[in-house]
Amino acid sequence: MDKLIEILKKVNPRISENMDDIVSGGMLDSIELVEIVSEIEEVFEIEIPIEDISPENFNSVEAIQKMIEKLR
Amino acid sequence: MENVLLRPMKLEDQEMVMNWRMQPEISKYMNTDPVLDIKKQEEWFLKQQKDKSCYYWIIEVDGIPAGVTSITMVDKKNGTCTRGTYIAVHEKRSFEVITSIYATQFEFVFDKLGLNKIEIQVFAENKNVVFLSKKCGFKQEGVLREHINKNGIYYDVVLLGMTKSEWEEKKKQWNYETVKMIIN
Repeated sequence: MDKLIEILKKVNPRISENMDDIVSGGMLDSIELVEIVSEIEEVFEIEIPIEDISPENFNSVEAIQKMIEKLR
Repeated sequence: MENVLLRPMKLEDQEMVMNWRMQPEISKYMNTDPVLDIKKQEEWFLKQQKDKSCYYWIIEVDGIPAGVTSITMVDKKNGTCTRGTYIAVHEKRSFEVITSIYATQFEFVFDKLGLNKIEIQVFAENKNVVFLSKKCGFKQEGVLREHINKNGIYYDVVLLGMTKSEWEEKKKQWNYETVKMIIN
């Protein structure tokens, strides 16, 4: 979880752990989201298919964590 | 997702397009940092209009002009073309908007134009766009080393391509959305 929060904050320091609208609330533009996906793939050694890059999977730290677990 | 429309670029758009194109954030990853005036810009547009190998659209997001996308260098003999896109209005750059524009253009290129391959060239340091393009189905074909000289600095350019058969495979796995595209 700490590694994930570190990635998110590195890309956008305004992201906080308890947010539930990181993507749908307009916190990230496409390039920032791509940067997060790319970092997550590298750090967690997974591949995230394009169909999983959705607001539902990236709106909260918990949702991202769940997706990572699913793809591991 | 936002309401996205790709409509053909018009002469009246040229002042807006010129101002977008000169924004450092946009020109940073393009081959040139042009200093344009409206006369030059309109001349460029009128020339493109006569050229049957290219298509330029204004990207409208929720009714607001936000950027430009293109299919150019259409080569019917070899079945190839190139694409380019930028969204100058920062708050309209959502992942869904960008990827739906990619998918719409793939359908246009392969289904409507009947071409066999789409290519793009991306500055190597624009890593996020290289990554995003691969997510959308492009494969890296090589790196054109020190290919572009801008202000005395040489930049590597990544060459990416996708064939029609690769798109046919990709679309089986990708539940993509397309956007409304108007063709002249």
